[in-house]
Parts: sequence; structure tokens; C-alpha cells
Amino acid sequence: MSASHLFRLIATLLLLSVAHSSFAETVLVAVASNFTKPMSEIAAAFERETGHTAKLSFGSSGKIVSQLENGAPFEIFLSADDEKPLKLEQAGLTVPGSRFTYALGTLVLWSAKPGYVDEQGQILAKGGFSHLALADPKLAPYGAAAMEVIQNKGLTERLQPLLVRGENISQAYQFVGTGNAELGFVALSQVIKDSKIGAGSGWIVPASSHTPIRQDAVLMKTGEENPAAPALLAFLKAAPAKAIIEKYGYGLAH
Amino acid sequence: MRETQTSSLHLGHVVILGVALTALDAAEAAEKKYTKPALTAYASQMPDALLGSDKYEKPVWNLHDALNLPKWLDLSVEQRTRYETMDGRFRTNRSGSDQQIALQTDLWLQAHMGKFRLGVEFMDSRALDADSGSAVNNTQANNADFIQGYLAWADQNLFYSGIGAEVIAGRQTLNFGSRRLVARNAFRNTVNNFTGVRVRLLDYDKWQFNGFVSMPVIRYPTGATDILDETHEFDEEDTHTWFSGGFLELYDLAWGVNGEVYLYHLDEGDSIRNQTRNRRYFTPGMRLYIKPKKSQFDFDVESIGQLGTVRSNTAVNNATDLNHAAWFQHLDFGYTLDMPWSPHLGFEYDYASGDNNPNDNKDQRFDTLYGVRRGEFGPTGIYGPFARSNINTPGYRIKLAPRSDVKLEFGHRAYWLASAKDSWTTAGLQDKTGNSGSYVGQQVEVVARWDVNSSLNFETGWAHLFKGRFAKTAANAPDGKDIDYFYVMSMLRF
Repeated sequence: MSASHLFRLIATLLLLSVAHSSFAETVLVAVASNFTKPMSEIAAAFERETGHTAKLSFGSSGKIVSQLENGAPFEIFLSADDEKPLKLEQAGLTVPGSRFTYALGTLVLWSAKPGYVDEQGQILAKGGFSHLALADPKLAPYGAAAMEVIQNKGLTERLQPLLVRGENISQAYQFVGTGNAELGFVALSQVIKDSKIGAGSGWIVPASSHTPIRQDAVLMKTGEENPAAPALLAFLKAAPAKAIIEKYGYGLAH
Repeated sequence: MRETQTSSLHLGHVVILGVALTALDAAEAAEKKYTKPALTAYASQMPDALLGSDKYEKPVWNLHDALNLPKWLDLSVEQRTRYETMDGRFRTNRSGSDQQIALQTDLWLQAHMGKFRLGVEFMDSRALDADSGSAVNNTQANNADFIQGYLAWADQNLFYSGIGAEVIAGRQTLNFGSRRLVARNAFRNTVNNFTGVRVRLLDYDKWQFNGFVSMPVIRYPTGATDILDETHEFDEEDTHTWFSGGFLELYDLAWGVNGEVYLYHLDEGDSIRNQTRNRRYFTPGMRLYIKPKKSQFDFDVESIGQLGTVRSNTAVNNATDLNHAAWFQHLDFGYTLDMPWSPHLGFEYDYASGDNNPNDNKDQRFDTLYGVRRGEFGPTGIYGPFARSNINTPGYRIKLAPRSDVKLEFGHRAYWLASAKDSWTTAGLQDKTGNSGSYVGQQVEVVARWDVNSSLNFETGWAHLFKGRFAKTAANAPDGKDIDYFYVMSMLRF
């Protein structure tokens, strides 16, 4: 009786241990730098809701791709654009059909000076500034979108001499934030606070004014067997994650 | 009006400067920053089964790509040639000058099969132009032998725990932490290797643990005559000696400080062909460090103890165990200036205990086990006057990077024996009375390295030892002449 009882107790403990581990996996996630804050919140919510853990590693999308092509341990990749996940897909490193847009970048014409940029962006046509910052259109999707807006307004010829190009959206933001440029095109996620532009003044560019700035996520083949991986991808499409994504100034794909 | 113009001009300059810096940054960003590999056979160390293989730049003259080999097969050939010349001597019973051409040729092959890897590394180390007057030994030459042959397994997310795991079984090289106790040699012409099993666990960005049990490999032949004759004999495991340990690394404890805690165990036994001092040591240690970075202070402090038993010599009939208690302390701190050439200024101090009384049954001389000394104590090769044993040495070091492909280094250190009655271990000189004092001398060294590309590197160096009182007056010391050592080295990697 005593031996039998002890055996049942041990068996129960072992089963509980196994049961726990089978529902509490960890997935390794590489996240674009510009999505650091929202993804940190999403990972915490994901763990609360599912019990799984998302272990996050942040870096530039280009660097992450180089790492992935050389055997880095990431199982899910959240890119700052849609080109790099497609490139990985074409290289056969991803699970076919897993790629989707998790967020849409929102472009803002912003100035560090309160009241400087009107809510309709008419200052672009009005002029009166010497420097307009934006990310390099050849390197950054936000820069390409900014050029589209300028072109659609027929202002390319007038504004071209005033453009100051940053390597990426972070540098463009720095140009404006330091006052080296009176205004510039930045990401809403860089200037949003409590669901509105937190400092200075800006025009939130309508999404219809440019090609969507798609941020895509993809499941790597290394994560194909990990139950936590599809759970995280599903969670990114769920309402709690969407609310966090919008809170940080991103749009949602439909 | 005039004030407005001045303000506008100033702003323009700032923006122009910003744009220029941006252009430079963009150009630099486009060019990925790789870690520079050691100038030795190193290709087998570049990929990491858990972290990936993009830390080092692939050879621009690439054998793997040239042969259109499949992705599951790794292949590398490396060749290093070093001419060394030394004028003056420090070892007992040696005189005159010496020179050597150290050749190192390496072939590494590894096949990937899912999570498994099967690898072999074959190295040929030769010491040309050495003669019977040279101090040639099996640290300089080891002809045509396998330094690695292993089966490895790795899982980047073990049981989906978020922890990476790797197991390597077979003959392998080891590299832990500061490399002061366990290292795959870089400057030396031959390599320490071990046959056993190593287990590695990695919690990405948080901690890493390595545990291993192994038998050290003895490089044959060991006799100078056989080496000079280039007699070939395959290396063998020392089946009477066990070397094991655990090594824990903790990343970013606070303020960018990393930590290490470790314990090694060496249990040495005699065999017919290999008479030993029967070292039986536990060697615990810990380290705290911040890596150098621009506009930032860095430091490295490491404390090591060593406890156990050892015999006074390798004689077969010596069965007397001495109580061994020794210790080592390293401290360095420095600063990297944010200016052209990125100067790094560093102060260094090392203390490795020596035996206090040669006539008692105790031993306090620190043993560096399988560590390397090039980075701190100067070139080895046919030179190598200083080791992490019975030594007390402060110094400073200046490092410069005039270009992204050129590195310069200048070092200056003063050396004393930690115990005046124990020996200058590398020289084989000892004054048991202590009357020769403890001052060994001062060494200055200069090193220049040029990375032509990712397949071709050059390095040259010079060291000068100003002999101190002990080096000149201890019994059996060679003449008091100071020593000059010079080397020039080329490294090819395909």
C-alpha cells in the first residue's frame, strides 16, 4: 500500500511536470528595432494568455536577415518591411504560406516646433523652410513613401533641393528632433504618445497617399515544429495584439 | 540682416556636416562590421552551431565556393608562415642567437546532417631552420596530425525551452573565457587538444554553461632529436590523465559588466611514455569584465585559486605529494578615446604565485594549465620568456587602429618573480637562497597587423627584454646580454 501510494505520487508529479512543459514552450523571435516597444508588450500579453514565452531579440532587419542566412537561432522574424521576409521565403528558409503583414507603418510630417506643421500638411506647399528630412528612399520604406507623397502633391521639383536624407527613419527623426531640419517625414510610432502626437506638431499622412508600408512577419523553418510559434503568429492577429499595435501608431492590415 | 545671414550659414554648415556624417555612416553601415579572426588556423572556430556563422567574414578567396561544394559541407584550408629571429638568450645552458621558420598548415572538413555534425581538422606544424642549438620542442612542431575529430549535435531551442544545447564528442580544442587557463593556441605553432565530451547550454543573451570531461592529447614526438629529424608519430590521448570542468558565463550583470565562474579539475597520472609530476589540482576562479568600447572605460579582473597535490619532479620513484596551494590575480582597466585611430590606453597587472620555500613539503607555484600567454606576456614561439607562473608584473599597453584594416599595439611591462627563491619557470633559472633578488627585467613590444582582405593577413612584431639583476646573476644564467626578438608572419585562409 505504502509503496504503491508513493509510486502513484511520483507518477502524478512526473505527469504534471510533463503536462506543464508540453503547454509552456518558448519561441525565439527576431524583431525589427522599430517594433521594440509594441512587441515587448505583445510578448508579455502572449505569455499571460497562452503560457508560452516569446524570447525577443532586437536588431535592424537587414542584420537579422544576414544572421538568419547564416544559421541564427530565430524561429519567427518580424521585419520592418515586406521585402526581406519575401527574400527569405524565396531562399527556402521559411515555412511556405506563413508570411503575413502584422502592421502598417503610418507616415507623419512632423516638426519639433509646436504649431509649425498644420493638420492638413499644407506647409509642404506653402514652404518657408530650408530643410525637409526623410529617410533615404532607396534604403527605407518610409523614405520611399515620403517621396510618393511629395510626388503626388506635385512638389518634387520645388522640394528636391531642400531634402535631407537620413540612412533610416531613426536618422530622419534625429534630424528633425535636433532642429537641424525644420520638419521631416517620420514614423507615427516615433512621435505618438497617448494616441496622439506627443510633442511638436504634425500631419498624419493618410494611408491612401502612398504605397502601404508593410511590416511582415514570417515563420522560419527552424520553428516549424515548435507549438509556440504558430501560437504567437495567431496571437499577432488577435484583438489584444492589434490594440497594442494601434496604440503605438501602426495601422492594421485587412 | 547680417545676423540672419550668419545664422543661416551656421545652420547650413551643421546640416552639411550632418549629411556628410550621414553619408559616412551609410557607407559604413553598408559595410558590415565583422570580428577579426585570430591569425592562426581558425576556420573551424568561426561557425557557431547555436548562434550562427555571420560573426566572421567568409574568405574572399573561397575554396568552398570555388569547388561548388554543397551547403551541408564546410571546407577550409589555412596556411601560416612565420619567420622568427632572436638575438640573446634567457634560458639556462643556451647561448648565441636563434632563428626559425614556423609553418602551420591546416585542413578542416565538416559535414552537416540535420542537427548532427561530423568534423575533422588536420594540422601540420613544422619548425624549419631549427638546429641542435635551438630550444625546439613539441610546442613548435607536430607533423601531420589530427587535432580534431568529432561528432557534434546541436539544438537551438532544446525541448522548446528557449535554451540552446550542444554536445561535442571526440578529439577537440577548447576555448573558455579569458583563455588564461584553457585555450586553443593562436601564436604558438601547435595546439592544445583534448579527447572527451563537452556539453554546452546557452540561454541567449543571459548565460552560457560549458561542462566537459576529457583526456589531454600528447603531441608526439616529444624529443628534440626526433623533431629535428621530422620523425612522424601520431598524437595519442593521455589515458592516465583526466581534465574536466564547468564554466558559467553570465552576461550583462549590471552596467554592461559580464561575469564568469568556473572550476577545473586536473588529475594527472604517470604512464610508461609520459612521466608526470602527478598534478592533482582543483582550480576555481571568477572574472568580471567590460569589453572595450569607444568613449567608455573597460576593465577585466580575474581571480583564480588552485588547490591540490603535486610532486616536485617527474621521477618515477618520486612518491612524495606536496600540498599545493597557489593563486593568480589579473587586473586591467583602460579607456578607448573617440578620436582618429581609436586609441585604447590600458593598465595591466598580473600576479601568479611562486613557491615560498623550496625546502618544505609545500608548493605554491601557480600552474596556468592549458592557457595562453601571448596577449599579455608577449610573443612565444622561440622567445616566450614569461608565463603565468611565479610572476609579478605591472605594465601598460596602447592599441591603435589607424585604418579599419591596420592595427598597432605597443606594450611595456616590468617583471619580478613573485617568490625570489622559486624559479623563473620559463628560463629554468633558480636561486634557492634568494640572493639574486627577484627583478627579472623589463620588456617592450610592438605589433602591427594588416588585414589585406578576409583571406590574407600579415603581422609583424618586435620585443626587447632588458635583463634585470636576477636574469643576469642567477646560477647558470646565460650572458647578461639583453634580448631582441623579431617576427614577420603571413596568414592565408581559403
